[in-house]
Amino acid sequence: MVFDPADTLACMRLVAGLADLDTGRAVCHPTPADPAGTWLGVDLLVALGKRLDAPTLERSSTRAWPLAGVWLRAEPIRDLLVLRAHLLTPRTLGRLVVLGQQCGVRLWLIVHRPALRAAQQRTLDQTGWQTMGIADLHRRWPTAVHQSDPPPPTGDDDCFPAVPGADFLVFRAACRQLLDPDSFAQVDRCYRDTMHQLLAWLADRTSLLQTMHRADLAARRDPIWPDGDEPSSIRVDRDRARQSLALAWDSFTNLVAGRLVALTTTDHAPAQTLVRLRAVQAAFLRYGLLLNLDPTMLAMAGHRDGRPTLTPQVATRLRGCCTPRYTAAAALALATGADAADLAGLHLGALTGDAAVVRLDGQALPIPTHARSLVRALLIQRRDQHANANAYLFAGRAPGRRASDDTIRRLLEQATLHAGVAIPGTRNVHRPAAWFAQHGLTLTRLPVPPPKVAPS
Amino acid sequence: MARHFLGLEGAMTVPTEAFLLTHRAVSDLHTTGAMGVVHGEAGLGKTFAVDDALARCEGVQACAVSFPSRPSMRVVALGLLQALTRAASLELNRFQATQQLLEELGQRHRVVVVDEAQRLNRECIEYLRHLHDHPATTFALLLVGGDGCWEVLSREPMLRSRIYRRVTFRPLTNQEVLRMIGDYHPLYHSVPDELVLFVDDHFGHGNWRNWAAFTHSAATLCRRSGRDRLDEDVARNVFALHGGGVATR
Repeated sequence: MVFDPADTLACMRLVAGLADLDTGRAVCHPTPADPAGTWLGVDLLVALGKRLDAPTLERSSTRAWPLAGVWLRAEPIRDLLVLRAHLLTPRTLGRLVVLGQQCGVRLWLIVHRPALRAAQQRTLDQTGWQTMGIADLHRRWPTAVHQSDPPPPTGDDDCFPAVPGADFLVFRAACRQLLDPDSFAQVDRCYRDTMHQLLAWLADRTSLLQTMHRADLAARRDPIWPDGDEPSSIRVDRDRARQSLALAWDSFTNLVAGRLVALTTTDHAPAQTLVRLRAVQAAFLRYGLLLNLDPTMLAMAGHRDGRPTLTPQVATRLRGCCTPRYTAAAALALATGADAADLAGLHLGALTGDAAVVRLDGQALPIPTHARSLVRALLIQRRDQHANANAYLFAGRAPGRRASDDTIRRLLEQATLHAGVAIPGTRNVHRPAAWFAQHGLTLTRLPVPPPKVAPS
Repeated sequence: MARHFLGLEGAMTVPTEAFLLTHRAVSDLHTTGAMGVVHGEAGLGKTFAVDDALARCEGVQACAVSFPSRPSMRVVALGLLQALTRAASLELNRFQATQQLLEELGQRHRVVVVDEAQRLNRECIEYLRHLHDHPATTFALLLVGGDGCWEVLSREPMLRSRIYRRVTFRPLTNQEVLRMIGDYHPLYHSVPDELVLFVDDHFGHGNWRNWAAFTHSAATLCRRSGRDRLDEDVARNVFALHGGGVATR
């Protein structure tokens, strides 16, 4: 409890300036004269980054308190500061305290009076609370206050350095030679991060690559019988090996394309995509795969090739929605390129607990850090409904049933409408062969066995 | 531009100290999005000064609103929403109206002028503070009030530290009347100081609204009698028209 008996502007500004969802702090400005405390739920949602009109548009005003609980855990919020707590009724104060306990949130009540009323005091006396002065509050978060300047670039912003057009064998060396140290550091961070991800992904597919290599050897084996004398069983075996190899290769190519789409989804500049693809080429070579890249085609494909992407700005807009089903559907569609059918078939177990990774079509696809809370909110809401790992993420009306494709499409449409972001309805543009051709990529196997590495 | 009381023809704007301070206050409030108060007795030119400052301050979007005595929060919310949007639904409850107000007040920098602010009660002041303090909004709030305004507002601790500019309007002193009245209207050019003070003592009382009413009547009488400036006969006739003048200073 922080007392501000003089009800000063300085205190209000100090507390309001502490609002920072990214670091787990939310500041609530309660609407005055709310005896039932109903509207405080809406004020809490607004404090959690929801748009002012979202509760009304999404018809969730009456569910504001439970939704606030979901979002408090999803963000996650560690410190919830509530201004003008002296105006809250004892019942509302009690409700707030319970919410804070349920969500593991430190609750800071800012009281702009010398003391609380007796009834309010009695409510709070049932919980352990401490008193703190404004100066103590200031000392606790000295750097959080008055931070008006944006943080310095981290390498994930729109200012990605221009990079040389050197081929992948000398690309990194050329970057080191031509770029200034800061730019090279940014490029190299992106390069190494991509390389690390791809090597881990390939390590998980070593057995598939080895199977393909064996099938390749079998298919290429020179016939030892003169023409016409080869036993039919041997010819059939070889044809079968060739067919299996073709199918396995086709499947693998699709996986690769899907992985590359996901990998480049959050790119901010064509140069960043080029750096990633150079790293991919280097990683693939270690596994006996040659990924050819035509930079001209890549340039013609254009930045993000028209795909809507899950940038921090888009995530912020989606965060303005209150309904976890909207935010999760939109975030997953944007992060993975999944369509309505893919989303409808998702189980809770397909996502990691922190919503960092979603497994879709056998691929583990990352969800950008800035968008995880959008998915996490639905995970939390479903767990609150006692859904287990085998339950569908998007539940249908009947118990245990999944939402229909049409329902998911409507969710995506609603998210598009409320958040004002474009969300792909289909994944046609991400068909592997088309995506490869559009980006001037071709993938071939080299006649070498893949390295023997343990899956990550 | 601000309009003179009774639409008085030939009247000029006289830059009193309070008038100039109001201009400065409006400009500062607009720049900072802060809260301010302009108060003083009725007729001293507060509303005229605020209107003139808003009209002359470039790029200021203003919204003026006044409420009945001791209004409810819903009346304040709907009244303000109506003044801002010209299309507020009377069926909204206070919370819905607040939601729309917060959005509307965050659209652009505005100066919201609440006239007759002495009519507001504590709840309504708390409500306006809520709108002003909310991070979604970006407006300056100027409370303009007559008798008792500052007494009402200064009782609220929440306003003490939030009032960034305060301008107090007081009746003009005799010296100020003598210095300024010649610039106010051509009727007073070359009029003896004794006559000006005679009118001020019996009618004007250092109050611009009284002086405007007097001048309006005096100008009509002068025009009818072919005079081009005020004299004692005209002054006494104006007193008679107004029932003997305005009682006290």
